[in-house]
Amino acid sequence: MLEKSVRGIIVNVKVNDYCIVYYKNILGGKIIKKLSIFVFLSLLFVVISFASPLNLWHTQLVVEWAGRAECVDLFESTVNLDVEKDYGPALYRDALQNFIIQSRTGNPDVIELVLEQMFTLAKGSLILPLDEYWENYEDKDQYYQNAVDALTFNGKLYGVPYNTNVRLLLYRKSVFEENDLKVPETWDELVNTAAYITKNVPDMQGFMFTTKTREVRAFQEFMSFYLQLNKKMFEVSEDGLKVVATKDQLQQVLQLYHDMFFDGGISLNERGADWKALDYGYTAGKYAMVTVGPWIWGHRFEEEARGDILDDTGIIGIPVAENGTAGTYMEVKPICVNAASNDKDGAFELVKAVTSKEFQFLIDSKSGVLSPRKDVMNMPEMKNNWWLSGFAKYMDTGVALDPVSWEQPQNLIIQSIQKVIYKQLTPEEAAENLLKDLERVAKSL
Amino acid sequence: MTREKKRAMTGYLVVAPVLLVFALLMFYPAVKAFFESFTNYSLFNQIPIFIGIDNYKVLITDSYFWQTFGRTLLLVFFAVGLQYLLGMILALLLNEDLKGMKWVKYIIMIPWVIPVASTVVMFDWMMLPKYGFINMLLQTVGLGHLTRYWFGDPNFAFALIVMMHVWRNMPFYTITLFAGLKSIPKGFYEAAQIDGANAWQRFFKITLPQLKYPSMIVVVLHVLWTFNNFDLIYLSTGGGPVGATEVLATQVYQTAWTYFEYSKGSALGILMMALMLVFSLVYIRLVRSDEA
Repeated sequence: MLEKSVRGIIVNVKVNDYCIVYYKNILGGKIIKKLSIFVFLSLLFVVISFASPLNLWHTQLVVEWAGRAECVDLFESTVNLDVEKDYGPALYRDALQNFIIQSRTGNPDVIELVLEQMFTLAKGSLILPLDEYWENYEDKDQYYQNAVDALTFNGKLYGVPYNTNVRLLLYRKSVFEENDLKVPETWDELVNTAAYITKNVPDMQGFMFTTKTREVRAFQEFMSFYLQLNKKMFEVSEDGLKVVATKDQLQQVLQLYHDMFFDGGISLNERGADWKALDYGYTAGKYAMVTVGPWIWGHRFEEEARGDILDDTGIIGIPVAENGTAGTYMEVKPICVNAASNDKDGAFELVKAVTSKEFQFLIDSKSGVLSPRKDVMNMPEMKNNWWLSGFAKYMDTGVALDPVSWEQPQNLIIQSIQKVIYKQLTPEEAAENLLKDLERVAKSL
Repeated sequence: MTREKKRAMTGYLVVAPVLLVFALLMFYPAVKAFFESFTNYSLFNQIPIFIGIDNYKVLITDSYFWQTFGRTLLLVFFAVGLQYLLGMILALLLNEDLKGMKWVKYIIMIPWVIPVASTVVMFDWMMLPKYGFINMLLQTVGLGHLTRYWFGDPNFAFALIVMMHVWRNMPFYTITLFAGLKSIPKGFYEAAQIDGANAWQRFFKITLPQLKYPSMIVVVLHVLWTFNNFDLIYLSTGGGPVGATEVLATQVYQTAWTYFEYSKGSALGILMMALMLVFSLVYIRLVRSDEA
């Protein structure tokens, strides 16, 4: 009887007149008909649930850049999983917001983020701790420990790193040679050299800072100098999160901004500019020095002249404060798994695919950034690349951000920079206010 | 059921799907935001508790809110005022069938159909220091000392935001008012001319009163749009520099997406909705009473 019923149900999935007649004749009755419809719908639901492809959001597969098509091709031709070909929003900001709104639906299964966003999502329990998967991951020993440590929040690993970089000082070699200038090694030398260039080299500005409202690069540049004075801004204590930055340290960095703008290193008319002004300005030959990461390499594919400027570029550690030690902002980009994914095992397989040796080599070498994998960094194409090796040399000076939700501190820091450079507050007053504000928001980070 | 009731029922059935979609997409979020505004809901506090009107109290006792509110009203006043004025002038010129105006009719809607993001990117690139179009132009004509990042200057950033609003929305006013002008019977003007009315008198006594309804529609719509406008400001200045272009809409965004304080963001949104509701009702009542 049971066997007949099961067979009947399977046949009925095909929904044809014959099987309905078969039921009416053999088992008969409306109950069976209703039951078979219910089972059919249930089966359909189960099939749809299990058959739905994995969903990946990865900005590098969406946003237009020189290596995008090649990366998409490699990914789609090598991945052995059923993955949707829509790779989500092109901007990190949009990806974060959309993820917060929809992640509980289980979509997307996997997301590429920036480090600051990862901490926010981890704190909101929206992404999955990966420790169990990581323990069994055959390639885990290939990763540099500092990159893995950077993705740890409250003792748990929340992402697998796929690229990393540090902010360094890039300078125009020819400008320094022609003007017989020494590359600055201290903050004072940086300010003085920048002011000298602005004053004496025609159509050239000595230095550039981004200072636009809500510009993440402005925050990262501030941190690149701050981390020389203190490797942490927050610390977890028994009473919760505690600010360990001091007023003097904050004031010292804000003073640097003040001096850079008011001593002539940067024109006051360039206040409030964003990354476009900095990246395109440098590669157009308008600035002699900038503090950026290796991604600026990508501009060489836009115009030949920009390539010439980059070939004329020297790479060196950011000048160090007299009372500081070498240190700079280290970026690590993670690939994370949605905590509500319907297929977590499949999602981690997808993470492995987008962090594989081949994929990391292609995406990182094309975009001119470093890989957190030893086997990728040891490949001759990476080792012998003067640009990448120039950055790799300073990787050990990179300091990962404290594991907190950075959106509020980020905003407060940029506001303080603006108050100084728009002469609303002195560096001392701005530092005092900033410290108070950081202490106020610390408990909610 | 009577025939009338049947017809009414058919009507309800026809509009039901639209009402259902409207309720789901508009009414539900508004109601949800209203209830959330009385809680402490945030990204990091997913189990909210009722806190009464605390969020509203915090908002209205915060001087930053009032500064932002004042700036929002200024933006609405200047943007809508200039749009109406310039839109009216252009509509009157179009109505005169002057030489070359045919081409203006063809191209006038271009700014309005360009996506906001593209408009902002275009303006932003033009204003960039060193090699933005405006600065290069200034340098070429010997005014290099004036070059700057225009969106980064607190003295110009707000004016530029107003300018972008005007550039984008003026065509909508022009076309709406032009359509209104076309519907005014020519006989009105002929009669006024026979009575000796001059051009100004004809404009104030005939044209303006006849354009009352189209004017009401464009003004109400644009007051609402400008008051709630977020994208033009957020994409160009982000509310800066030093808060010079921060308006209520960008403050809502900052509260919800920078601080992840959804309940406070909801409270601010509800306040904005209430203010605009009051404005719309008063404005429509005024126009209707004038009519009566």
